[in-house]
Amino acid sequence: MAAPEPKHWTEKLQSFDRRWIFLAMGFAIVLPLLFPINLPIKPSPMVQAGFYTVEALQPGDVVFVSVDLEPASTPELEPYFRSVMLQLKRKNVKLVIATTWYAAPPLVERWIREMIENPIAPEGTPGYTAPLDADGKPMYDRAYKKNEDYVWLGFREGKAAVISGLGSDLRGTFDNRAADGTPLDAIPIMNGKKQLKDFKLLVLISAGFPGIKEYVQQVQSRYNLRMVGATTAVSTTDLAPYYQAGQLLGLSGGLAAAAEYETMVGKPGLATQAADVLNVSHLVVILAIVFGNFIFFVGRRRKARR
Amino acid sequence: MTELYFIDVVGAWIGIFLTLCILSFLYKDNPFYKFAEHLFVGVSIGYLVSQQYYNVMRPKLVDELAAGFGGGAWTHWLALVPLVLFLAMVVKTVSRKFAWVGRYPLAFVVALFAGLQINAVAQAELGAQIKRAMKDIDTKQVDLQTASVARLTPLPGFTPAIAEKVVAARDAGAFVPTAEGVQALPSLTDAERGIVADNRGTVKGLDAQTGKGRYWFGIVSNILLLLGTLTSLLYFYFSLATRAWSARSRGSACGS
Repeated sequence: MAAPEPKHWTEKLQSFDRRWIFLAMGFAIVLPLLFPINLPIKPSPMVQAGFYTVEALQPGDVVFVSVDLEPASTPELEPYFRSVMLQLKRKNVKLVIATTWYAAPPLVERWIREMIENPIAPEGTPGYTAPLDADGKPMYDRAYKKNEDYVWLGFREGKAAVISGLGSDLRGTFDNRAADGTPLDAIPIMNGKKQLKDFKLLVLISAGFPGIKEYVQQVQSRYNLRMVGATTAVSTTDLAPYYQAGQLLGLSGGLAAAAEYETMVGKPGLATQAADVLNVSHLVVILAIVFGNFIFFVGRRRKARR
Repeated sequence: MTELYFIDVVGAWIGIFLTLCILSFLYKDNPFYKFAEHLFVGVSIGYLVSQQYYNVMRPKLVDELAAGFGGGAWTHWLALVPLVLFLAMVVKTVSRKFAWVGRYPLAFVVALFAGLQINAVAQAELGAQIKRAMKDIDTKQVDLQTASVARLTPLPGFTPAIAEKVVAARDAGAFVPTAEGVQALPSLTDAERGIVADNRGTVKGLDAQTGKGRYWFGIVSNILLLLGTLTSLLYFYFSLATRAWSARSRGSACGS
């Protein structure tokens, strides 16, 4: 009986254990985290536009921040929140924060404690050089005080209806009081702030419905509001037309864009670290596709010859 | 680095333990997984109920009715409307005979959101998007000597800050109105100069879009967009018409 013909290397590779690919992907994720390679990050036009819109704010301006997300979206959106808060705080811009997602309040309250009531990048922070103001002094962020530098309005149920209500009557929507019960009339930065158009800018951090799309639909067109936003990578294509039509003044889509924003703000963080992971893991996927196709076509050619 | 609160540290450790409990299902179903699963469902429902009560029910219903009973303005009694709608919804779940009552709150919610969306989509999607799409095919270059900040800002390599610096230099009479002139502007920072340099180009970059003539890449793009739109419309129009015609032909053939 004749011995079976040994398998050609293309046949062997076509049936190799796919768990090797999983292992390679595991290394592609873990190694750049442990040993950053710091690949260059070039901000895209949408991210630049958002950054410069925020940068144009003046000290003392009041912005409305809507944080519409849940814990599952934080890896993509927290880096943007941290960067934009640093940018706003070092310009001494006042913040009015709210959410339309019921899962968000505990998360937002933690972020307020960590990033608003404490400085994000005080003097002496390693690897951070604060930009200079008009007088040539470095602008560091500071600890914000509740109901003095920022107001936390809390959560209201009603999704698009609540957003529509914020456009026409913000105080009525939140029953004229902050989340801690303080009457809005007793908070100086809320003076004259009755509806969304009274704010210099809206900063929207949105993981889905309701979020940026509903803000554009319900209030942006009606009141001609200035808005910038950050969203998850999957929602970016859905929202990019709003940027192209000028309804959004800037958009940061996903973790890669958050890394670009960190670069522009000058304080690399989690997203910059994760950008290496994204780049290397995408490279592994591309190599796997090229390798798979190469094996397939070489194998087919060999079969055709025989 | 921000110091973490003790409660956050405890919460993080509990979260790690529960995550491992859930992941243990990869091995097989076990009491740790069951514990984490039941805890998650219970906490989720408890959290949802408490959030809805403290953020919706209490301020919008309980406090309003309390103010009404306390002799406040008559408008507090308007809170009875959502209460009645809510009770009508409950009837739907407890009685088959009177389930029809539940249709009224449903109709109210559907109509409310339909009204909100029709107005919003007409303004934000149709109006603004069509306005953006309807542009003159003959695209002109932007004249750096006369353009406003709003007109300059969308140019490649421009930001609101750069546009303002260009206008300021122009007003001071110290500006050469070319892409080269923008890049050489002394008031730009190194980072801004880098952005301008990155966006130079004679096909679709800053050089191509500034001047007093035509922006040819834009014209070609607009013609392609128009042709693409017309082709798609023609394709769908004729394929639908052909299908309808074919269906009619088949019908008449069967009839004969």
